[in-house]
Amino acid sequence: MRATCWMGKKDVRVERVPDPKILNQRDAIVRVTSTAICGSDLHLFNGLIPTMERGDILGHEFMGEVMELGRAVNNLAVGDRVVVPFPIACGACSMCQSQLFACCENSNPNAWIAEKVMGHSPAGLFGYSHMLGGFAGGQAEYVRVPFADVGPLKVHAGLTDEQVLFLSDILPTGYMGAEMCDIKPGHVVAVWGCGPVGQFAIASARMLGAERIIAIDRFPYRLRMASERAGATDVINYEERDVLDALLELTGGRGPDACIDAVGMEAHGHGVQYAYDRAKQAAMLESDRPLALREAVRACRNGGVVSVIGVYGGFIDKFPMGSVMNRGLTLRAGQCHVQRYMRPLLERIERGDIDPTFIVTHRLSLSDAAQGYDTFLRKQDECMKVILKPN
Amino acid sequence: MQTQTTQHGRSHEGDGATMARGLGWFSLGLGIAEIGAPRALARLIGVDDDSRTRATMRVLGAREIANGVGILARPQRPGPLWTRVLGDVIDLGLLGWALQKRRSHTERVAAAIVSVVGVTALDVIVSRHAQRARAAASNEPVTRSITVNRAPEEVYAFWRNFQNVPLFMQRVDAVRVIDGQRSQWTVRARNGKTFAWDVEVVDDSPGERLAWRTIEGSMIDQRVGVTFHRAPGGRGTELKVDMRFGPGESDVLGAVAKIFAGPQMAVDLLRFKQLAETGEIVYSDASVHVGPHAAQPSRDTVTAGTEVAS
Repeated sequence: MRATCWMGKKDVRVERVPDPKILNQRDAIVRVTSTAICGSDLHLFNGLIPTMERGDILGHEFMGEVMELGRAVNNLAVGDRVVVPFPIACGACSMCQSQLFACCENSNPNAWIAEKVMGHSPAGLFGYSHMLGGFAGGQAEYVRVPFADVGPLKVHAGLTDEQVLFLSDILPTGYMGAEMCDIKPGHVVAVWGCGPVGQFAIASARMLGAERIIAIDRFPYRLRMASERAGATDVINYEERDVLDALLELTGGRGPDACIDAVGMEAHGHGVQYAYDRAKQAAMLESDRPLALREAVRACRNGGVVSVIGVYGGFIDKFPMGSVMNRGLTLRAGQCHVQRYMRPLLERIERGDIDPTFIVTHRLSLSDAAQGYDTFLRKQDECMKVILKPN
Repeated sequence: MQTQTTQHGRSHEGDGATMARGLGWFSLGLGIAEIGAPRALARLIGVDDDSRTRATMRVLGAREIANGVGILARPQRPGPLWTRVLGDVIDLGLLGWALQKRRSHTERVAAAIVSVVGVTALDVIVSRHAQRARAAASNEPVTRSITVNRAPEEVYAFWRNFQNVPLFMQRVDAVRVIDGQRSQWTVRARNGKTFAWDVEVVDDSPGERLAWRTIEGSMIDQRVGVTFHRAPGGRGTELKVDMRFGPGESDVLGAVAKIFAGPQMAVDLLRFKQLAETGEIVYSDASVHVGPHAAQPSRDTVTAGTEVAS
């Protein structure tokens, strides 16, 4: 089959690789009909996530048709159309039973590597380093899906691929980011980063009843989409205005009730702070550049919530813990427990509460994956979301 | 989920580590002198203080400082200490060469040689001590715990049937049950060598504790204890494995200790948890291979539920 392989830093190629096989009895083999490039794939592309190996198949946002099933999968049939959640979860451990699927204790065969870095291991993920399992990803013609009896969501033919594909990751991720904010009537939520996850965090904050939603980014087209399509009430272009000043002004000096970091480890910025983080990251003195996170913490009102859904890989520097502690902030974070949001969000899509297709700007053939990565990374051609079609 | 406790450090640090630290500081001091005052030092040991000597002195100084830092960072490790011995040999060589040179102060050089020989002897003693302490440390008990979402009785029953062990212990090839108490274990080392020995159950408290040891006259003396505690909050069983080795033939023992070392036990206990909670051992496209492999499907024929040797 053809698959998008990580061949080294800034080197992604569509290669011919062997077809996937059933390795465990709860596996499914899925023929991929649509897959997308995630912002977090760019961290892999830029070589910032450790334990990648040449030839690793990328991709954790995908859907398709069940081609083959292991003996122990009883709830799916060959031919079913499924969306697959990006965290691999067994459904049987105490984490899965507490609905914390992204913390599954059984799905990472390389848990010992993750334990060295993080203390304990999270769930295995598709196409996201050997430290997180060494699972082949879904930017390919076919993919092996472990624990197929737990994760995949069946969808009927009445919905298009584009309507449901983002249930695999970014729609639930944005939704969880907003849910962690404990939004109450009258609340103001600020969202750092207006990429696809930020757009869905904004749309979710709107669905959950936030009164005002402030979108922060540096690209006018992304800010435009945030206010015109996702539902932001105000936008701040951080290259034009000081974010903290603007937020004080927009919130009567209180600061937002909740701040969502939808940026993660490769934040941009300007001035001395940005130069500092770039230099430290280049010298490998910190793995992640936490500019957005620092700003979100400082901006948040006393006693507010900082919700982190942007991906961090390792260690950050100059984190304003004094601000978190003295002002009683609540810091919440997590890889999304996708399995617990798929069904309710599918219902919202069916009801018309949200139409996730608004973010799609590029539709390419799988063969053009490398071009897709490049366009997305450089934000050329007002790129927001790239969908790859294997056929 | 998992905790690992090893009793390392203090117990066998003692005098050896103090001596090692002393040598580390000595290296650091000598290195600084060699770099900072090469001329004075050259005169002291009776060699000509020309520019070549000073350059050599600075190189040796850098080596000493690096060596000193290495020792002070991990005084229990034999490696940096043996590097000091190597440095002593180099220094003796250089001094021997200097002794034959016309412009050297023969008596001072000879005195320097005597001092270096003394230090070399001390270095050898401390290095060997560190190495022995390290060897002893590898015989320490390896312990590891994991919580398994199954009742203690169930977890116990699975372990008590020793034929199940090769399913989750990667290095155990086979277990042949001889009778209710005795069984024969075949274990494979990383280099492919296999070892076999008989074990007998010495403590069997269903649902609570299971312990076995190798029988008298086996090539190794191994004692394993497994406890099964009910985890708080209805989270199943806290399983704890404690593995100890008695004195035995050191090379065989070394190989065996490595087989069961902490990291392997961590992997094996996760495999056990996967088996108990999900019904099988979970493989990824990479982990199904014994060696490193990209996260992409295999070219080899893969049988479900087994690793591909490569």
